[in-house]
Amino acid sequence: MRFSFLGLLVFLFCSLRLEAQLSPGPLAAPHAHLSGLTNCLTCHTWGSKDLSPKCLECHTPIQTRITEELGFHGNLEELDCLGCHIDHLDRQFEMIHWEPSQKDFDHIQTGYELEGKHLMLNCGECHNRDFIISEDILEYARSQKTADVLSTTFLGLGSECASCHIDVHAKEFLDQTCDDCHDETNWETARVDYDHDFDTNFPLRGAHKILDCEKCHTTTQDAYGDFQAQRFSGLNYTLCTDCHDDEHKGSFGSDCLKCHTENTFKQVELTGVFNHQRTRYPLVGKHINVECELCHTQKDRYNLTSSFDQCSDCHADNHEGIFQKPDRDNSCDQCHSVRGFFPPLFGVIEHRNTRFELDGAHLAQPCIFCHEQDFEPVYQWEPLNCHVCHATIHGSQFLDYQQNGNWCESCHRTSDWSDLTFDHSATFFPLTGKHIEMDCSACHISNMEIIQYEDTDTSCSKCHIDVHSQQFEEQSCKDCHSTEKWKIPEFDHFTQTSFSLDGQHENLECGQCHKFEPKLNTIRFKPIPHECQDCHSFGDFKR
Amino acid sequence: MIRAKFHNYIIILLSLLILTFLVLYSIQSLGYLNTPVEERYLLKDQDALYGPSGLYGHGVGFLAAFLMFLLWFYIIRKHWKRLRGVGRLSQWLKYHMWFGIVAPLLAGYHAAFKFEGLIGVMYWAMIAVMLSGIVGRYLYGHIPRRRDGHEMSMKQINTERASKLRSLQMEFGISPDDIKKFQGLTPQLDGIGTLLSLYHLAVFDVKRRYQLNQILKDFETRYGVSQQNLIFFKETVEKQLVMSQRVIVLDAVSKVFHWWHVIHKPFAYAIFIVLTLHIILTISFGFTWIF
Repeated sequence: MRFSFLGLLVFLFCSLRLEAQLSPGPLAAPHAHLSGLTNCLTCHTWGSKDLSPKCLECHTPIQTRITEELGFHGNLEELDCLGCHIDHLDRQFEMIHWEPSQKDFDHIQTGYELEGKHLMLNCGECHNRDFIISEDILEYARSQKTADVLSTTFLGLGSECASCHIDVHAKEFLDQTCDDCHDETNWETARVDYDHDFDTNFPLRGAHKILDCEKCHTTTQDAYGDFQAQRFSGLNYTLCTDCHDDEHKGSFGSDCLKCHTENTFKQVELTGVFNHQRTRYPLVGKHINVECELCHTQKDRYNLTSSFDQCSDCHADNHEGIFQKPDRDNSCDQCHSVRGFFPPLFGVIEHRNTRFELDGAHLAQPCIFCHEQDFEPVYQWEPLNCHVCHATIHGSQFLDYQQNGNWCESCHRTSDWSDLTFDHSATFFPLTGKHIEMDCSACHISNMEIIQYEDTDTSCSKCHIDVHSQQFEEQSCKDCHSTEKWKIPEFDHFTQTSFSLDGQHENLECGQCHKFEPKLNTIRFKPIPHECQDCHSFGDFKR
Repeated sequence: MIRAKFHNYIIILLSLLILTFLVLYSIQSLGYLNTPVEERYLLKDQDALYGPSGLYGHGVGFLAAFLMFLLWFYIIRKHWKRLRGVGRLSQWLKYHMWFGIVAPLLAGYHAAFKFEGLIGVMYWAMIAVMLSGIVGRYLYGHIPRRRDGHEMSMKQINTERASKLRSLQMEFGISPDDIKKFQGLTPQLDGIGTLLSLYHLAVFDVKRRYQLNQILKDFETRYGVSQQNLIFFKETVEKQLVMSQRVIVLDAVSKVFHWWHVIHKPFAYAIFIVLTLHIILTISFGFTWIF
């Protein structure tokens, strides 16, 4: 028994601390200072498991919000601190449980719904010790010696914009609230239902409507002295020059609207007071629609001293001076007008005065077919001949002609490539008979994509098939045939063969003796056996 | 004999009831018990049922505490002379053991298996008492006792052994040589230490069934024991063997059993104290279950 009690004492007092045996677990870090047996009743109450009253005795800011029905705790239906903030689970246990997570916490439960840009912020960007303004929180924080309340609390923020945001208007709109102009989607721009036309003395018209606010409401050193502030009131807007620079240095007076509208400065209202037609240079044609700055480019651009005689005062010479000749009128309007550079005034008639008068098929060609090569304008060629535009399709044929620059014209005309002036009778093969009727391509066929004209084989067999299967190999076709017609008109069997036709033989059809021979695949003309018995039997003869 | 079986049946019945209850309870509370301790309070509905202060959880704790207090009736019965005639001490011990095993089990469910702080200390103390109780029961069984459960003196043990040997000689005609051979199965362990004695005790227990079968087969063959006497013969031989072995390790078992109290009892007292504190504290702080 003595040993048992000794063991009991050893177990109770030596193996573990007594405190650990009476506490259900370590308190979480925020309550760590309440650890110890003597502190149980700081939170617990005799006879009641409801700890909420004791919680609120310490957490006075929460009590205040519950009483005033403010914030998350003020909107709770049931007061049960332990239901959410359980303890005795461990020192590292987080006593605030976010549902579903801190980032996705439904902020509307606090009575302040997050909208617009506020939804994208991290909690700490607003719940920051610098933004805490509630006096009770600040007072509570000062009273807590052991905890940095301001760094951890989510309480104490104001719901007014200015509690977090700097008043960039430097107290300019003290009689208004921020949401009169702004909303939470974008701080940078005023809300769309703000009507500048009705709510101010400066209705926005023309280009003013699409301007960013800060173009007029500039950020300047604040008149109140603190920082750069964007000003919305007290602006001078009576004259255009209050905002805009006078490019004319006052030479046209102070009423800009005489010439300009609010749509754009770049366009002058010609039907208004200012009329360019009354100037030294009335605008005609394309000049009417040209942006002013294209001509008025210089510093004193509205007081140009140019005589406006030469187009080149404004326009660059796209032809790089090739038409500048000392012996003629070099002005642009020889070919162009102010109605547009295109089409030029230089036409077929004017082309007659050039080295290359247009005729034939050339008359129907658009200018750029000749005057543009590799996307570059071309107006001069040296030497000027067919080859500057046309490539030869004859290869190395006609070399003798090619020595001459205009050798194409030896055969072709400008009316049509196929309208030839070529005289075949001047060749080694004058065309006669049926050959005259044939298309050129019937004899001049393509050889490696170049139609063969020179050195064409003039033998009959080049174009015609030998239907006699070489029976007349030792003879010329011309011995029997002519170019007039293929059929032999008069064949003298007497002189031209060794078998003269006489007697009854004269009346015979050729085919009765000259028969189709399958072996030859043609009619056999020679040699033909010409003994009587070769054709006749004994009974065939009559006296 | 009949009454002992009756108690066994009651314990089996109670065990089945508790087992069924715990299986059903485990199935119902599985989701809650599988949730990390730090997150359980978020399962408000289940926490209200299966949490330590929940309707069922607290009820199970109440039952565990009740069984824990019932344990002490065995101690009271053992030490209070006025109760000496009330039931056999060995039967009381069965209930004591049953309570000692079931109560920690129920306490685990009551604590929702959160074994930290006060509950944790008490729980591991309970487990220590339970394990030491099992060891103690083993040793307890090796100390020869009278039918009323009280320890036999060495004289009583020797008288019992002599009686059994005489029975073997007189009633079954076992020869003196075979008796000697039979007695030779139990080695003499004079002068060995307590731990070695306990080791031999365990070896005896393991080997005894084999030894018995060998002897019985040999004796049955050579002495032709009739079927009517076979059971009695077997019991006599077994008791003789058991007694022989237990006499040898009796000193060591008695010594260890005496020291075992030093472990078992302090923990038991600690549980009693801490449990009482636990109940007082929880009731004081308003956790009164259904009352």
